[in-house]
Amino acid sequence: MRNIYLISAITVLLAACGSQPPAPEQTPAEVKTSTPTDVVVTKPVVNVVPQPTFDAMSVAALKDPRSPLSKRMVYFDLDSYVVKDEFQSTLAAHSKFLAANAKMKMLIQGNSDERGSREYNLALAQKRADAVKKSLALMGAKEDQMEAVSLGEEKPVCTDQNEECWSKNRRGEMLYNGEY
Amino acid sequence: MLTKDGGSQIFLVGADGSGLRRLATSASIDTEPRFSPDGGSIYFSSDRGGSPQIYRISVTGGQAERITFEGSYNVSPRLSPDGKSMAYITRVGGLFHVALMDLASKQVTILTDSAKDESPSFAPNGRMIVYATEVNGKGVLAAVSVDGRVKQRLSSALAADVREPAWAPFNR
Repeated sequence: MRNIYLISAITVLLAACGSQPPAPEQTPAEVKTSTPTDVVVTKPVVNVVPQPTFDAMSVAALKDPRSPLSKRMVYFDLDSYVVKDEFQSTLAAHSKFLAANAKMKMLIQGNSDERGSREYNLALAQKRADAVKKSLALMGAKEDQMEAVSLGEEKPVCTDQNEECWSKNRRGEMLYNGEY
Repeated sequence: MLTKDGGSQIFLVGADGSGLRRLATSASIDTEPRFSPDGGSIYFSSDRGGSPQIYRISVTGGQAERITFEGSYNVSPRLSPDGKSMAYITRVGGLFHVALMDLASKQVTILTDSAKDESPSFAPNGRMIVYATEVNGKGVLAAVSVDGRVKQRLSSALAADVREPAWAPFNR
């Protein structure tokens, strides 16, 4: 007798469970926020997907203007191949990147403005490329990751006959694999 | 001139490619080497003294002797056929002129008043110097007599840029 009651009780319980109406589906629109109703909410509630943190020293950042690695030019004074102080932080970033990424290679192209002896300018531009390479090596980049070449006066970025243009051509330019 | 071991340095090598020998050792730019007509010296441009100047060194090596002292930019040495004078390019007030130096007296005459002269080259008779210059943005050839009195354009008909003239040897 008792077993029958037990079975019945269980059966009733199961039936009760089965007959419960399903819970209404919650949609995002029905989620209640804790914002008091008399405060104007100016920002819409959005689903925020967390963004990956920007890594300024990654391969992906090489051309990103937010990264110092996107700065590729070192500019020189007339007749000079001395790397000026204002470029040290850019070079430090590149040397750190090269030291941390052994598979990355860099080509350094030295250039001169178009005035004076073409042959002398070829040598001057080589010295500029060498100076950039040396600076990078002193700050940790491996010598065999870098190559320094001279373009002399042959590849100007501008051809105006004024100091503003000439100063843009007196440069060392840093290029990574795939860019040359 | 080779770029070897980083930087431009001057080497001597036999015409058959043998006997490579470094001639001048410096951490600076050494470039544009030219034999003197007697073959005993080499004239070259170098910034070893702090600015681009012309130097001379014996083909057997030794100390380089500085030749140009006026101005902060003297390059492209070219010896006259008799070895007594040297044409070169000098920068004065930002302008690049052909200059001539008497090697005995060291007296210098500036032969041109154009602004962007390059690559002087002596005619075999030693009386004219041909050089590259720029007119209206185009490279042209010009010539000047060694006393500076006669100047002429040589290549006005050419549409293309003209560069680096060198007088051909006279073959009968």
